Amino acid sequence: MITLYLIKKEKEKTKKDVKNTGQEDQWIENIRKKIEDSLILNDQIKLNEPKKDYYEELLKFGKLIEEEQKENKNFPELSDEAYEDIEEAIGPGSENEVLIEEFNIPIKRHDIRTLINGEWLNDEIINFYGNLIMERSKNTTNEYPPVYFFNTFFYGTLSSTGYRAVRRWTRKFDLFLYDFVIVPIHLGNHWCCSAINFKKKRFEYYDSLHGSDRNALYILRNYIQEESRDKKKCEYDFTGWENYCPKDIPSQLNGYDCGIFTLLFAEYISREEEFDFDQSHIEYVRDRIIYEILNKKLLID
Amino acid sequence: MENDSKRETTSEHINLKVIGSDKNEIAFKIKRTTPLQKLMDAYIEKMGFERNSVRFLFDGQRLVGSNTPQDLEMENEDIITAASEQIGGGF
Repeated sequence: MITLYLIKKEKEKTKKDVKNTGQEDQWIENIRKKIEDSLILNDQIKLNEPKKDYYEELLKFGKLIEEEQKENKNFPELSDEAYEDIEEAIGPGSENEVLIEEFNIPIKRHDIRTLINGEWLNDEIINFYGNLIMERSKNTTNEYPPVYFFNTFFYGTLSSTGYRAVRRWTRKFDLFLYDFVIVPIHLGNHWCCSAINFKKKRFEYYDSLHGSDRNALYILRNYIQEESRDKKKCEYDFTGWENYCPKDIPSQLNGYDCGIFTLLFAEYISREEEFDFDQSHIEYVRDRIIYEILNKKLLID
Repeated sequence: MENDSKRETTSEHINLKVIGSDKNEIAFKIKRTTPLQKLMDAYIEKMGFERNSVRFLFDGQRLVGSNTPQDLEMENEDIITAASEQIGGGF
């Protein structure tokens, strides 16, 4: 199209300019040159076409990276140095060596090793991590709600011995000032996460094996009633409260990751973030938790 | 170890009970200013537990060896819980 147009234009131009045939050779030569130029131009356009596609691909890729970065908010990357610290913590070395101590919990190599892929988590890891979640919620520079994390011995004591056994656990603070009270539940060889959600008025139960335990939620409801009677000297108003035991939540695809899912449920609840993790993230999260414990700080500020 | 005149001063000593996960109780009498490490060591030895598998709690708070009954405002006949390591993976 371009070529034909140029020829036509050149012809019109030369008709005016060329008055004798002696110059015909010149304008034929000119036309020939124009055609050649335009052919080269055509080739260049053709050459540029794949480049254009590539550019669009790059744009698409850039958008993907942006989306990924957004996702990475919940999965911050670990640096090479972090992985070196993690490896060193795992050892070799004595399993009784205390690697870090905070919140009155001495974390030994034995405890850190429960975070190796495939291992069952122990109470020390869950309780230390729970303290990290509480610490973060106290930090006023972020906007996370106030969260209390009961240790892993709370629920067992409450369910086996009753309210009087845990009555004094809250004598130094007011539990009702928190938006979320997280209660990790240890069931023989399984970890689950329950939560008292004062904002949404819900007794919540999150089990990565999608089990349900109405009894646990009843025990927590009863605990709130007793706590209100003991500390506030009044009956608790349960108007609008409900039990919440969702089954469309991330689930473990093996027999060893429930502790990690429990900690993730708790961590997401403490940020009021929607669960966007699944089994594929767990190996990374195990490493991240080791790093977070060693640094006494959660990676997500 | 203590002389008789001190033993009579009730405010200086305190009776504490340690209750294990099997609900067994063991009573201890220690000075209010003695670090609780002494009590923990005695309990672990008496029960034949492995040191790393026991956590001592008072009012739900984890005890460390350097805490004294006085630090924690413990009262006579208060109860310390000795909890065992909990592990879990799924099934």
